[in-house]
Amino acid sequence: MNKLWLFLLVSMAVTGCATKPVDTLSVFYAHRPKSIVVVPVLNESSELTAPSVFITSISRPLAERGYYVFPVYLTDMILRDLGLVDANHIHELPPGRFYELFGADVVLFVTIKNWSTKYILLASTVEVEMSYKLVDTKTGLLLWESDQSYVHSSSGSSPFTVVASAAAKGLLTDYLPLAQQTNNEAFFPPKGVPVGPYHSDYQRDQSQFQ
Amino acid sequence: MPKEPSRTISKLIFLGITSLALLLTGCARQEIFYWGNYENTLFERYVENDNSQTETRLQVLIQEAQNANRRVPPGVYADYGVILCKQGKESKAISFFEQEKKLYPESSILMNKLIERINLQKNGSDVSKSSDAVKRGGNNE
Repeated sequence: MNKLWLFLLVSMAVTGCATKPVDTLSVFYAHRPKSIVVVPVLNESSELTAPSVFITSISRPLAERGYYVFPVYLTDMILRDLGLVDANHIHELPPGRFYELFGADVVLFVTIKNWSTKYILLASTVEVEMSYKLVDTKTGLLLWESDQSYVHSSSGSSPFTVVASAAAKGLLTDYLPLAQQTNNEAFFPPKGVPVGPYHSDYQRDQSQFQ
Repeated sequence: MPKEPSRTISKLIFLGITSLALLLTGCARQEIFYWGNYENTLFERYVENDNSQTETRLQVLIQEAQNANRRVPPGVYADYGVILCKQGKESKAISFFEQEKKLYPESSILMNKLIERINLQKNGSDVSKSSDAVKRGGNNE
């Protein structure tokens, strides 16, 4: 009898976990966004160049999920012209503001949680961690969110070559493939964001997500 | 005797199916848009603070996409329009904003604003109009 109760409890817990993401996506499917504006990235890491490197990697994966993505450079220019330069401030604006300014269905808020390199004897570890939030500009509802991190460890080379190659590249280009990898894991199945109207699976991809 | 042709036919069918499958997987892997060097132009502008090559690179991207009969990614025509606008080539800029709008109707609200702003600046010789245009955000960086 005890065993039966345990079984029931465990199976309830398992189904409880499994149904949660479906609920989240049903809100997404109900709103069917078509266009995304990516606003300046909030940087919680100590690497000052992180937002600039990251922003260059965001348009392609989002567009390839089938969305109209507003050109990031133009978006920045328009916000700057309005005196909106501080990412903290921009992330706190009412979401409706991004509909007024751009006509975007959703706004993507990205926060860089970590963007660092550690050197331990013969190996180096590069880490990036990002949080993504898609917010509906008309209702202010959170349609989708994801936290992703990616760690790349390299070993085998001497500490001298690791440091020298990193220094030669100014530590900039090293992060780009990691940011791309993190974006891909965030936006593409099995987790991912449902596809938009420019994708051939539009409104037929519900089964791809757990 | 009758066995030979049927074997050839089944071989042909097999070949047909395999090549179709190959074709389909090939298509599935192709991206929706032709990206060319677009990410490089962003990296140059954002990270290296160098926009000297942007115009040429965007021209090349658009040309290559057209040659390959592929779709120009969202934002590329608009991006190019902004460069033309900064160079004072207003009517050419407007035609690129129109192209962005035609290809991607989702951009209409923003493109219309940009076109309206250019027209205001072009026609607005009186003070109130031009100051309004500046308030809406000129193209000064």
